[in-house]
Amino acid sequence: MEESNSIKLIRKSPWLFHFNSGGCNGCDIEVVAALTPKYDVERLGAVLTASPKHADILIITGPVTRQTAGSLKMIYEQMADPKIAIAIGTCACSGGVFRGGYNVLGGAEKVIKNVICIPGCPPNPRQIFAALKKLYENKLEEEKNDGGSKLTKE
Amino acid sequence: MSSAPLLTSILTIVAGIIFFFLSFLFEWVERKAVARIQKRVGPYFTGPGGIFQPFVDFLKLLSKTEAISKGTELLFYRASPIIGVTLLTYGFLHLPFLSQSPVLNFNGDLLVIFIVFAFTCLSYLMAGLSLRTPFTVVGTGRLIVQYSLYELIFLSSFALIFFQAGSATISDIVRYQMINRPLVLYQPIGFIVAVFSLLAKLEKPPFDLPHAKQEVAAGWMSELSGRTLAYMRLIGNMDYLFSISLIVTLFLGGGSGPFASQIIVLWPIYFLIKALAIALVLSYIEGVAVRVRSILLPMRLGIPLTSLLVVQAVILAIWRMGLW
Ligand code: SF4
Repeated sequence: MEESNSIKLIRKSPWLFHFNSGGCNGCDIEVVAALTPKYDVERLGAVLTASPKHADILIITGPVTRQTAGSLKMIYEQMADPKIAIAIGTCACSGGVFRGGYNVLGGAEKVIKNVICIPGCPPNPRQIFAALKKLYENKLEEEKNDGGSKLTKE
Repeated sequence: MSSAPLLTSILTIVAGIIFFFLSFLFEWVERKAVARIQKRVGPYFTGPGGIFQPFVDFLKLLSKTEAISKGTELLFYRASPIIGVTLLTYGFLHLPFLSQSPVLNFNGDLLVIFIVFAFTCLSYLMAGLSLRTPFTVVGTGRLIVQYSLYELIFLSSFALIFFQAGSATISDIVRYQMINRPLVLYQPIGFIVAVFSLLAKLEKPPFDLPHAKQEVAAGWMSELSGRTLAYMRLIGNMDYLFSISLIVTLFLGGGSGPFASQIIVLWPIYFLIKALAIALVLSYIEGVAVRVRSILLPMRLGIPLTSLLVVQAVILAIWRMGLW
């Protein structure tokens, strides 16, 4: 895959925007834990931004419900190109335990094309850091081809 | 004499480039110091110790597309970064960073600082109000309140310097400090008030109400993206560096120090060391402080700080009377 300069730079300075589309809050706590001293994603230059317009990476936790689908789409559209979406937790990947609920649409892929999935209920902050580190080093693509890895593109 | 304009232009370019890159260095120092205080590491992988991180952030934002919403006042949106960057760089040329005499100077150039600060604030307002959403309006409103209050205090502490040194020319004030002692020894209260109000002026914690996270999204910056965000962040960094350099110039005697008058290269080095020391003090307060919850608190802090300045003025007046 050919990548533009901009994508190259995004990998070196991934600014995150966190959106909970209806999860149980378990994943949110792990996302916050990834910012704390032990894992400190700021080592990679990642900072949590307060406005989607500043962010490069949208972090989605929880299943997409009928109510949040519109907001999720709107937030993703507001982010400036190029942008990346990461689904954290099994719920955000596929719907998880909430799958099939009357109010649940499913994973983030129902709204956004091309989501990087980090499964786990909730995933360890180390996995979140590892995913961002792989993104930083541009090794994500290789992982995908291996098959059976933790990081899958569903 | 014919080479003087040429020399000035070369020095202008050199000082401008130094100012541009130093502002990134200071952001790195700040981020690293705050991270250390919070037992984190801070930027680490990009460059040695993550030193290129702020610059990469800047490049990244420049290379991104802009998401401009409908209804944005494009004139304000485009003009604000130009005003801020130009005026701050111009202001920096009036500070004696490279050598004892600033690149540009004229009689009474302390007043330039007032203009520079006014226009920096104007550029923030223009960027904030170029698109009026609830977030930007609330954020800009808070910014106006906080800025007008604390900048007044910040600049009033310079009035006391004018009172003591008897000159509103920056190079004269520096000379006064080299002949006597740095002004911080005469006016310690004024110095503390200036440093403290600097935090409020730069919207750093505990005074980061204008863009208090989650509360009002990113405050007045919410609607900025891409290039404009890159330049507005650059203006923030430049404002930080400029204000610190100003305190170093006016209170700590610029780059003066042992052997500085014999060896010319020592001047910028001393200046940088003093500036870094102030940046570390500011980062320390930033790192340990919690954001004040109510907007009233930072406003109420204005009164104690003002009274402290009055006390300093009275002490100064008595001291001067005694001398005369
Ligand atoms: S993946 Fe597990 S922890 Fe995360 S939101 Fe779903 S149920 Fe909660």
